[in-house]
Amino acid sequence: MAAVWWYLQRITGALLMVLLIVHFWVEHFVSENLRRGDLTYSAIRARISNPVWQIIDIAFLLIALVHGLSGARGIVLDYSRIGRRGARFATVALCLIGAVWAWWGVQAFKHLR
Amino acid sequence: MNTLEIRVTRSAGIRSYPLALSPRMTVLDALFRIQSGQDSSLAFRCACRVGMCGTCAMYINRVPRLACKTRISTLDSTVVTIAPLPNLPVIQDLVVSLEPFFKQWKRIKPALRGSASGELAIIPPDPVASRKRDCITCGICYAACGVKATQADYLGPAAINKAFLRIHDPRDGAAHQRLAVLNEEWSGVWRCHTQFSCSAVCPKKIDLTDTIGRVKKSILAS
Amino acid sequence: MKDLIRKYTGPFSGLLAHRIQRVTGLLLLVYLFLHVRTVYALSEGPEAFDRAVAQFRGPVFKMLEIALLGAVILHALNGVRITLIDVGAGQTRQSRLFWIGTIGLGALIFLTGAIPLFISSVLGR
Repeated sequence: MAAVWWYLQRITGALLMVLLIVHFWVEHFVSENLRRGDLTYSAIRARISNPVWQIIDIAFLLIALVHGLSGARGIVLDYSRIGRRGARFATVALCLIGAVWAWWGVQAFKHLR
Repeated sequence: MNTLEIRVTRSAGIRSYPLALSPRMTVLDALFRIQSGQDSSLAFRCACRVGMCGTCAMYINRVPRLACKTRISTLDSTVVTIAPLPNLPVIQDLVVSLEPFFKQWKRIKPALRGSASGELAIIPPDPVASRKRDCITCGICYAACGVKATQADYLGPAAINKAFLRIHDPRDGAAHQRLAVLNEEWSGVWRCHTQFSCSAVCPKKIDLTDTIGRVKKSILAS
Repeated sequence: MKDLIRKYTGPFSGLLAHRIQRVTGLLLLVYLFLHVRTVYALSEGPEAFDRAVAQFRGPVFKMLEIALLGAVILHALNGVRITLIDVGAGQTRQSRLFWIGTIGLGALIFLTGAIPLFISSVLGR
């Protein structure tokens, strides 16, 4: 079981590096406006109405949440003295936080469509 | 002639002792000088004085080391701080109890069990394991480990290293039981975060993080 | 103090790397929260969004952006180092991987990003 968390961190980390470069490139280097730093509503909306980008962006968010909250779980387990039951509780709590956070992020796309 | 300030963390508090530096003086020499010339109540452990037994392990200038092998000149400082080994209960002054260390040690069943194959009296050649056999159970890796600082349950580098040696020994028959202990979620190898502190401080230069990494890989492979 | 610096730049550099990884990780989680909050404003229409983005033109935010760049670079490069160590390729040279790979290479990439950002914040947009 613990090996699963270990694996997850490495795999999500590698995926995030790729997704981050893609995201950064698209947001800062593709269109002239974005290159100048003018993050206008229309420029971004144009990209986000494309379903392929929606999938990539949502995947990015979900993978980042898994990686980040799994890392936070590691920190909580290492530095707190909550015992094993407390650790299981913390894991469940972090999963719930992740689910709410993901739902909140996805809402932005829903309203645009 | 340099005058040193030796600051010792004792049970009653931090005490400062001035001492003249002599050539090739080790921290253990300094402690003996203080004990015989300034304060005979200073308590510390030592035995062989030559880096073989592991008894004189202490926290010297904030790094766990063997006092008998630490030359004051290499510390490159006129103030030398000496404290008992961290992560272990203090009995008196610089003397700590290694009981928690050996409790973890015993959990991985350190003795050779059964005879799966081969002659018991012949150690099979193994280039990887042969570099990891020199453990003197000094407890320095245990004291340096960042995870051990907060997790009483964690096995610690020395116990994992010993388990590794047994698992990779064809004469041993209990690999399965030991791997179960090593794979345990809260106390096993997965708590290691490759901080490398253990490898950096081992007086026998055993690459403990490497051992733990190899155990992780064996568990994933099976 | 000198002992601590010697300890963390010497034998305990792996511990320093681990702590940097955790600190930058937490900072990035905080950033993720703020970022999702801003993007959420997208769903409320162009005025709400433009208002949110207008906040980011000021020099304070530019400095925070530069800090974010630093945190991402450190965390990502150190993550690569950790993965190399875990597959066995970095075991014998973890300290060099940290100082040259994470800190050295990281500083180079950081400067290529941070200097233009800094200049644009001084010049204003």
